[in-house]
Amino acid sequence: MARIVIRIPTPLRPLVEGRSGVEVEAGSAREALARLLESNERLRAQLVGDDGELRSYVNVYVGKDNLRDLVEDPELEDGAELSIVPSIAGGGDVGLTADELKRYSRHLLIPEVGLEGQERLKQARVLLIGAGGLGSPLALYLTAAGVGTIGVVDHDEVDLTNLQRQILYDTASVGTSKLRSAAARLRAMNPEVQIRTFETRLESSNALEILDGWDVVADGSDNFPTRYLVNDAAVLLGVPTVYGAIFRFEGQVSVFGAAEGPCYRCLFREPPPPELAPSCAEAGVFGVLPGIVGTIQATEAIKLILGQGRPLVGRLLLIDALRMTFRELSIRRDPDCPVCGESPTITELIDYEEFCGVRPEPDAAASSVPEIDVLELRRWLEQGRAFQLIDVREPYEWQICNLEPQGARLTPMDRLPSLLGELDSGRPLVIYCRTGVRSAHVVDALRAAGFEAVNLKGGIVAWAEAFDPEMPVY
Amino acid sequence: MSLPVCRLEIGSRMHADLIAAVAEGYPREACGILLGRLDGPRRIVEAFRPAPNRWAGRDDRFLVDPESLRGALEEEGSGGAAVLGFYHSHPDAPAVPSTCDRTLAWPWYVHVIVEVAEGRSVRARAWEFHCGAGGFEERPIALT
Repeated sequence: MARIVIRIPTPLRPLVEGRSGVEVEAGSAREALARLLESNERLRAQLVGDDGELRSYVNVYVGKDNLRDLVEDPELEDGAELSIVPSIAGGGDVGLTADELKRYSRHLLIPEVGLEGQERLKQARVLLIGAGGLGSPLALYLTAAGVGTIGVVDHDEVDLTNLQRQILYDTASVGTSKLRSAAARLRAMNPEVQIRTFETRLESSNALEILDGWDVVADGSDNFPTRYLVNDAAVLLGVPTVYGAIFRFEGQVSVFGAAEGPCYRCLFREPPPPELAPSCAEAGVFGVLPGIVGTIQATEAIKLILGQGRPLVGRLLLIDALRMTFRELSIRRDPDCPVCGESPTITELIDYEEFCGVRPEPDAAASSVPEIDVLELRRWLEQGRAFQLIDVREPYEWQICNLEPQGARLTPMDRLPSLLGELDSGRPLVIYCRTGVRSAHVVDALRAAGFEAVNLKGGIVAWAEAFDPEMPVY
Repeated sequence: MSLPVCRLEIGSRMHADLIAAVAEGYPREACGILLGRLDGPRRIVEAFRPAPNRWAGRDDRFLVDPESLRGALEEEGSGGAAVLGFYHSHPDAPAVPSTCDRTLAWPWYVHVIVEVAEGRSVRARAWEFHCGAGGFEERPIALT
């Protein structure tokens, strides 16, 4: 047995009655350490972990040798010294404040997130395309989860018809800028998150600039031109896109443009013809559906950031809320894909409205058929002119609002051909629908059949705006 | 354990030298040891000693070279300058303790953190870790 002095660093001296060194009797270095700790439980708790090993933030030196590096337990002679040396480390990583540690504590408890994952989220930048039905749950959950920087692209104002599903907004927001409302709501929810707004229409001329520098893009757009634009820009920039789409009760989610994964064009090389691609305004949408799809998109975005789990890369999730089924289709990267394939032909952004056939010109009927505006219609009514006012919308639309007091009759457009014989060919026909698009096609067909028909420009919506603000419009 | 509220005192010239020195390692974190003497709650810095950063694989971490620290503590034990604390830089991050700093912190020592933005030192702040509260408290730096 030798008498050995163990040097104690200042922070630990309060645990050994303020002494700078403690003398123990032992034959070897590890034995000396054991002697010191066996009589001092508080010191042991500081220096030794549950596994019985020295904690990582402390070193014990025998002379100039770190005990960790020694395989043997060196024998010591009388008067030998051991030194307990703190290991001083840290780092200027993103870090979480005390408030953030508390705010995200339920995340920190999950091994797949934990402190490191939460810091990754804080460092992450996610860009949302659209602040509508999908963008609402995306923005809310990503903000709540502590994604450090969230960008939102939108150029709309909040409309009363949005509130059935766009849960970012409330009734008081109607008529105001979506982004201004959204930013205020998100900042109030989590002031730690940076919200960047892009109050603009995403176009070929600005998409690369706006999408550049984000870790993940979440596409909540509601039309094909934007969807192809986002896909192509993100592929060109190498940013993965979490795609989501909704139609009535059905939704789709996937992750495109991830390393080795397919892109949107691998799945849908070309868009459907515009008449088969109705918008929410035309086709309607079940209000909860974007909540389901958007939260799945948020989940995928967070998984991509964390690098955890199995993302929806190469898988298209099909959701049917009416049957409540979730199906999955495998999708492969297409080597012939024009944007992400082996010899891409799309190397810069193109004209996506033209590509999707939704330029104003294709709807030639709307611009070429004879039309009158609502002022003219009112004049005709006041003058008592002989004409027939025909509403070609669907019965459920007629129930919401109509021009029956002005003499309109309902003849839905799909029933019109069989009812042509009932029309009076001696009196001009004024045809209207909701906004004047469908009715223009009807006017076109009626004129081809020999009727004197004109379109009501702007439809019943224009009438309501001009003369009947109390009329319910949709 | 009770901790007296300490105050860090450092000559303004030395303070300027210290914050200039940490910028040299940018964008990697720089670190070193603060040496001096104790006078009640006063921690009077008489020298700072840069130490190699031994944390491998990441620029935003530091580990004070253990051998340098062992040497400094040995000198202290033989009547040399006391180890008062440590300094390190936060490249492009504020001079406040990070989560990592908190996780690995030692109490009693003063931890000076220097924010280095785009290669230039911005400011230094001093912190002391409280075991009980599990957090850092800022300590004043008195320039003398």
